[in-house]
Amino acid sequence: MIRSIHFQNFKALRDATLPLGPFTLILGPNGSGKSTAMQAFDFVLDRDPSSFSQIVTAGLEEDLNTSVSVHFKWLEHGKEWVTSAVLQNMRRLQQHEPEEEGGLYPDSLRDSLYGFRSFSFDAKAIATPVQTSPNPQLGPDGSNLAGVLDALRDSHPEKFEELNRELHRWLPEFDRILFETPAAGKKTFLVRTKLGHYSYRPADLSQGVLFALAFLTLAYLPTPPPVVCFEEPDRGIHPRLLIDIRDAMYRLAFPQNYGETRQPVQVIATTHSPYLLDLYKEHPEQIVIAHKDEKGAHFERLSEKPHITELLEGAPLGDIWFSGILGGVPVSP
Amino acid sequence: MKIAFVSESPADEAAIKLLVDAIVGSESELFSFRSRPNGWTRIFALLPNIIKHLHYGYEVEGLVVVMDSDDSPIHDNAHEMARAQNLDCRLCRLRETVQVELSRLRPLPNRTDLKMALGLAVPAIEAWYRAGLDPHVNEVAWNRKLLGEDVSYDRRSLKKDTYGSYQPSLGTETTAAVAAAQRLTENLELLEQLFPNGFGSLICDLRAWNEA
Repeated sequence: MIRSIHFQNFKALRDATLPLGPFTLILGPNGSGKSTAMQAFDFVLDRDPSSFSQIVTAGLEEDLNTSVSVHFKWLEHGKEWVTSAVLQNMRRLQQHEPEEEGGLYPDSLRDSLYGFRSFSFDAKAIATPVQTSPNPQLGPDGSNLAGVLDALRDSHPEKFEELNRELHRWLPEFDRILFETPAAGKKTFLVRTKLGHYSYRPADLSQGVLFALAFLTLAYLPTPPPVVCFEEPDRGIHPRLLIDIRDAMYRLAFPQNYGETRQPVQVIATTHSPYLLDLYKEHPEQIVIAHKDEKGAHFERLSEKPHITELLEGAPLGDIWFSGILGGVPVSP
Repeated sequence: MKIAFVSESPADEAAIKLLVDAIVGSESELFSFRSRPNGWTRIFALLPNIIKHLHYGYEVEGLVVVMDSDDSPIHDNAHEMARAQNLDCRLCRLRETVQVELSRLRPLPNRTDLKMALGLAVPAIEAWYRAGLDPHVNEVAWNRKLLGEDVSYDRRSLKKDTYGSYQPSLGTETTAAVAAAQRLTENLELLEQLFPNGFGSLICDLRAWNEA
């Protein structure tokens, strides 16, 4: 599991450490580094084509001695490990090393890094028909959902049935996912109504239904990505359904609590929704506040804030955050 | 002086800051706390958390809370008598909430007591902004309205008269609120005279800060 990511001179993150757990919900104002932090994976894997001047903190582009660095700290097999990437102007250094001597760099770390997926769903992408050739990977925007569902039905029919039952619980008007071939070489899914058994094509479904289905699908995959980020999972979702979205993310992160035997997925989510935040009042250790001030952006785990138990008494967590008590809100001009 | 403001909107906050600075006699450094829109019930729920945060954070000296009365009873002198507070009156309820929370705080070394100033805008802060412009707008008139008499304004017309629109943008609200507050800083006595209970409470609390 990734314990933390430390950033130096990485865009808005001049000197910041993002603490992470099995499930982490990051909240903060726009431009506080939430999305930037998720770009760290591509940076460490050297998959980010941006130049030094595009990545370095604004104002430091001309400083030849400045370096941009990202350090992942992991806990694996009871040991701490550090994976780093440093970009010093044009020169790139990459290191994977155990913090203690004598350990082997475990494959699971490499799998986690390469397997990281960040999702920000887009209704049009989800609704677009896909090639009939098998592809079980869900795209970052939710594209290929039909392919993933089709593969799930064929390879794990019991999971597919569970997903159908859960879909009906979330959205009682629907009871089943079906498939059709809209054109040669293409496939798409349909969602059937409980009453009358009418089938709706994805293009005729609301954005919220499509996003909910994408969440559900990920939650029921037998082998989901090892580390996932959801950007604003509340987007397009009715506030009453947010508890189900939370549970879908928890199913990924804490599979044993849901009767699953697969490996846990490390889940990172970002939000601006007080409604979603309300659901985490009992778990301040899962909340990270992104602050933005004159020193740049930085992160703080809510449970580590002084006097936090007293500060959270009484009012809903979403209201407390919105008020500004916890930070992570836009500052007044 | 570092002062925290609790309000429902940035426009109210900007105007109240100007009024507070004029009363206290120095420019304050603003710490802003907001409730979600239309959230007067939320202000009551949040106030204990805000007071705790300010007490344990020990960088802010005073807290100012101004709330709209809407259609709730207006505060009056009778509520000031011992055990005569009316918890339907939002000012009484604010005072009660603050008093209970302050009494629960653990004393901290080097932490002086948080100064409090509470106001009630009757029926809404736009009524304060109309002071000196519309002679019919005042607490006495609104009290008559609460008793069933016809008066020449309501909360909706106050908005229209203040901002020129029933649905002003935040920018329009802020410009009008700041302009009104700047005008009123020259004539705080008028505001106190027209709104002796709601604004009177605020100015009385703030004057006590100076005396302390």
